[in-house]
Amino acid sequence: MVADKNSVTKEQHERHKKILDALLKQPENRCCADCGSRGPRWASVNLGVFLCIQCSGIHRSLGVHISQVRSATLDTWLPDQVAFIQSMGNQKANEYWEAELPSNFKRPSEQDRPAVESFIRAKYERKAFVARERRRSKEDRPASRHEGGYNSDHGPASRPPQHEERRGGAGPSQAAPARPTMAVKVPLPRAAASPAAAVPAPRVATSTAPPPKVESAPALMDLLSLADSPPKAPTSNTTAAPVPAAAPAANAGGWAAFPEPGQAAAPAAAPSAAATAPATSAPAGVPASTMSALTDLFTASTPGGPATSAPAAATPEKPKKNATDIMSLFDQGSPFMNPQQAQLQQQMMYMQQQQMGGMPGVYPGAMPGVAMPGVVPGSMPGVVSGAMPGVVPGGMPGMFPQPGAHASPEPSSSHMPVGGPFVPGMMPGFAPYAQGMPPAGFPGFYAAHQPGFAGPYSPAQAGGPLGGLGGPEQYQPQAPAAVPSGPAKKDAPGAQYDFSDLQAFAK
Amino acid sequence: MGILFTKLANVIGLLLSNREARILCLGLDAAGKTTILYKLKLGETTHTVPTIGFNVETVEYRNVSFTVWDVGGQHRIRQLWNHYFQGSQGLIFVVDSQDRARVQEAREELHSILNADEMRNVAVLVFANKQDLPTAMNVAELTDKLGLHSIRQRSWYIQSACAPTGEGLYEGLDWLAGHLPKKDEI
Repeated sequence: MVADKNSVTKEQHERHKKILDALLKQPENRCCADCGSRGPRWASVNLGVFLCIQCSGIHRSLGVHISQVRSATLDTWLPDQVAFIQSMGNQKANEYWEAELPSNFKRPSEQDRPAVESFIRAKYERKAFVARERRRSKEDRPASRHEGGYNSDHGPASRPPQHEERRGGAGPSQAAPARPTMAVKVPLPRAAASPAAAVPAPRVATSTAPPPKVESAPALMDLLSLADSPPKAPTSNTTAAPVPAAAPAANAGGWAAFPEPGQAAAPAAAPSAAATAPATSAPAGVPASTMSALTDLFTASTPGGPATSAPAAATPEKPKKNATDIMSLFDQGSPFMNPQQAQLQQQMMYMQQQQMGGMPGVYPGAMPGVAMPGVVPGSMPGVVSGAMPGVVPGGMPGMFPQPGAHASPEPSSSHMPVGGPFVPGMMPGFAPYAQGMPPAGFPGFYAAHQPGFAGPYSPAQAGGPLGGLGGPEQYQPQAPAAVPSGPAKKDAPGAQYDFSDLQAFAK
Repeated sequence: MGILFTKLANVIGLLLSNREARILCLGLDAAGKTTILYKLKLGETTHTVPTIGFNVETVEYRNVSFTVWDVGGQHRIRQLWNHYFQGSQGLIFVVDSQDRARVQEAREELHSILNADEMRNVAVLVFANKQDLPTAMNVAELTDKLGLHSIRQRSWYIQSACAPTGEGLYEGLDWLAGHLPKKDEI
C-alpha cells in the first residue's frame, strides 16, 4: 500500500477537491473521456481520465488491473492520484488511447451501453487505438510480454521458433501479442498493404471494419523500414508459415470480438485456425450481426475497408470450403500453396511493397489499383498473407498446411490470455488454445459465459471457504488446505496491466 | 395415520419457521455489492453503476427472507454506513479479491464495522468476490489479509465468489441462514 486514505489530511483533501474541481472545469474534461457525455464526475485514477457515471460502471467491471475508478466528489484521493490526473486529463489520455481511432469513428451513444462497453474494452483492455509505435516498442521489451498474464503469448521460454521469427520479422510480428489486440489488428493492414490485398475484392462488400484504416499508415511505415533495410528481409522471410493462418485468424478473432466478444471471437477464430483457411474463414466467421454491430460504430466506409469486411454469405460452418475456394484462386490443385509458389509470390509482393514503400504518405489499404499480378481480383485480401513478405512458407514447409500450427506456442501455463484474438475457451474444437488456457482468463466475458470457470477459482475452492466462530481456536485448520493457494493458476501477485508507457506519456 | 400427522406437523413447522433477516451488505467501492445483490434477487448479471445511496431488496432463500441493504462504498460516504447498522443480523462484507492495493483498506473498514456496538452480534459473511479475475487472492490469503482470525465473539465465514456467474453466492447464504442470531440477541 503506497499510501493510506486515512493519512490524507483534511486540508489535503480540500486541496485535492479544489484541484479536481478545477480540472473538471477545463474544457477537455467537461465531457466523458469515453462516451462524450457532459459533466463527468467520476475518474479512473490510474488512467487519468474523467468519466461519466455510466462509463465508470463499465470501467469498474474491467478490473482494477485496468482501471481504478474513483468519484471526484465522493472519494478521498491520494496525492499521487491527483498529481497523475493533473498531468493527464481527458485530452492527453485520449491522445494516447485514441491515437489511432479512425477519424470517421462515431462514438457510441451513452445510452447504448453494450456499444460503449465494447468500445471501452477495445480502448483500454485491448489497447486497440493506441499508437502502433507505442504498442510495438513495448513488445520489443521482453519484460512487457509477461505483464499480468495478459498475453496470449507465453514468453520466450515456451515459445517455439516460429513465434520468435514472427516477432523478429517485420509485419506479423505484432501477432506476438503483449496486447492481443495488436495481434488482432496488425496483420490486417499488412494484408491490405500487400498489393494483392489491396484488390478491393468486390465480393467482400458487406461491411467496413476499421482496422485497415487505423493501421494502414503504420503498416506503410513498416514497409518503409522493411524496404530500407534489406538485410532484415530475410529474417522476415523466414517467418513461419503459420502466419497466414495466425494473422487473419487473429484478425478475425480480435475484430470480431470487438462488438460482441463472446460470440464473434469463437466462430471467427476457430475455423481459420482449424482449417488453415487464412483470411477467408476469418471474416467469414464473423456473424453478420456482429459485423453490423461493428459497422454501427464506424460511419462511412473506409477505402481500404474491404480488407477486413466479411462476405455476407460466408458462414463459419464451412471454413474448409472457403479455404479451398480461395486457394483455388491461386490456381493450383492443392488447397495449399506449395512453398515455391508461395515464395515466388512473396518475392513479387516484396518487390511491390518496396515500390509502395517508396511512396510515403500513400495509404496502402486505399490503393485498390495496386493489384498483384497473378492474383485474381476478388481474392480475399487476407489470403495473400500467405504470400506476404516475411511469410515464406518455404522457410518451414512442414508448418504450412498444419492447422493451428501457430497455436502450438501457446502452452498451458499460468498465463491467461485476455481480450486477445485467441479466445481460448470460446473455440470449440480448437485444442491447442483451449488447452491450459482457463476461460476465466478472459475478463472480456467477465466469466458470465464461462461454464468451466477454470481460472484462479475452482469449484473446490468455492466449496472450501474458511469459517470460524469466536476466534482462532474454533477455526478449522484443514480448511485452508482445502483451499488451494493455486500459485500455478495465477501470476505474480503484483502482476498488473502494464501502464508504464502511459505513465511516461503523462510526463 | 400417526406418521402422516407427524409429517404434516413438520411441514407446517417449516412453513412457520420462515424467518426474516436484515442483512447489511458493505464493502469498499467497486467490490461488487450491487452486482451480488441483483444476482441474488434477479438471478441475472446486471450492469451496475456506482451506488450513491443504497439499494434494498428482499431475497427469499431457504425459508429465510433476507432483506439485503446494499450501501454505496465510496470513501466519503462510508461514514453513512453506521446509520444502517441498527437491527442488522448479518453482515455481508464484499471484497474485490483482485484489489491487492486496497485489501488493507478493506480490512480497516471491516474491523471498524465490527467494532460498532450495534454490530456486536452479527454473523459475518465475507465474499471474496471477483475470483474470475487474474491475480485474484484466494480465500486463504484474504482470510489472512483481512485479519479474520482476530474476529472474536461471533461467527464468520469467508466464501469465494464471482458475482456475474453467481458462483459461491448461495453457498454464502446457506451459511448465513444457519448462523443468524436471533432478533432478541441483536
